[in-house]
Amino acid sequence: MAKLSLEQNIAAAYRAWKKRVAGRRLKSACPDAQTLALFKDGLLPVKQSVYVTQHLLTCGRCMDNIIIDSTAPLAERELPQALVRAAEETVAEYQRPGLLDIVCTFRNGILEIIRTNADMLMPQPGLARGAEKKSEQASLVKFFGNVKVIVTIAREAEQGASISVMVADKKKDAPLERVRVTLSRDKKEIESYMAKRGLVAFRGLVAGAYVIDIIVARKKVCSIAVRLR
Amino acid sequence: MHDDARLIKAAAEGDREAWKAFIHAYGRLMYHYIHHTLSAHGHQCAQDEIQDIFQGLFAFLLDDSCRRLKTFTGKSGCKVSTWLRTITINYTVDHLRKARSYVSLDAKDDEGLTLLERLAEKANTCQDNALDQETLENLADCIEQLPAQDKGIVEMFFVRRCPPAAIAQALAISRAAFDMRKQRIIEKLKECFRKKGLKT
Repeated sequence: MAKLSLEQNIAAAYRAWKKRVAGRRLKSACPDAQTLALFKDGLLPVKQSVYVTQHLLTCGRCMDNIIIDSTAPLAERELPQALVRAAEETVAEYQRPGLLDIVCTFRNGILEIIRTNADMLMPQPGLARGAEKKSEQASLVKFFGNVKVIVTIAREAEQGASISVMVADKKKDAPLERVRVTLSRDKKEIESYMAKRGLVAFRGLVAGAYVIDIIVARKKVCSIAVRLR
Repeated sequence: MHDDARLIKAAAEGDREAWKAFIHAYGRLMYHYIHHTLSAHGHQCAQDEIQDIFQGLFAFLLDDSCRRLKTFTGKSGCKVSTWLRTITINYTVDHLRKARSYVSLDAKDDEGLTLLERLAEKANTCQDNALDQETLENLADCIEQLPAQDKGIVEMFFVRRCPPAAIAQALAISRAAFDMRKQRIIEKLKECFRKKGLKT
């Protein structure tokens, strides 16, 4: 039988050690990308560097990252123009303000949501998105990045409807500051208000197609297209 | 704040011109590392799949109001290029893991070995009776005694068979320092193996 070389013995011993510790200890949390980057460039303080080194022994993904990075060929490939355009399109798509679309009608005083792309209907969590909601009022919720928008459509005592818009920070679940909400019909601005504690209400609306723009810190975050039939 | 860090900050705030500059400055780097990561994993990719990964990486950075892009602060002199390479490699590896529905003979496992290499090694170790389980456990004690960075060198050089220059770069030490360290590790382990009764 062929005897193993010293190098093979070392590799075998290491694998045996790794199997031994695999069951014994939990993998430590992966360092974030910035910490790993600092480690690669030798800029991490000693204590953190030791932590990362120990982590690499338990994490194939991070060890992979270190090794792949250090073995990359120096000469970079040319970036095809098609990919430049693809990246620019992706950026443009993410920067386009979002749209909440609502089509609803009042029948015998009851509000029906015919169609919407809202994320949730409130306050009935069991109701699936797009399902008919029959009540005198309905609240629809949509998230645009970190912004939570709640639109409440209600029937008013006399003919007509009201639309209230609440704009909040999704993470903090608190009303946003510096919010302007404008109401337009047929591309003409009808009303515009600075929200008080994130809330604006438009009253006495008749059947028609409305667009509500939400501007936070002078930047348009989203639009709400409401068709009241 | 460094110019690169300013560019990242502006892009994270949605500045269109900053994004154009970002694509121009770093697009090639990201593309290069997508390619390199795929080939390091023995994966042949069609150009449209590479485009998917490239676009997906941008979406990853843009998602949730550029949340991930905002994690870059440039602290302690962290370079944007190093940070982006790290993100690109992780993203590409994660993409491969999700896409993999079969085990390729060329695919590398957590220790950086392909299935073929594993099978060959298994064949080698199967042929040799000198390293039974008890012996392996004894030798594992020798590995246990090494400091963490030396263990890292053992994994990278002896197990994953990375080139010495790459290991030196990965550990941010000089090539000469790596060679000295490797030699010291070999001597230490040789002595420990001898004490455990292994003839080398």
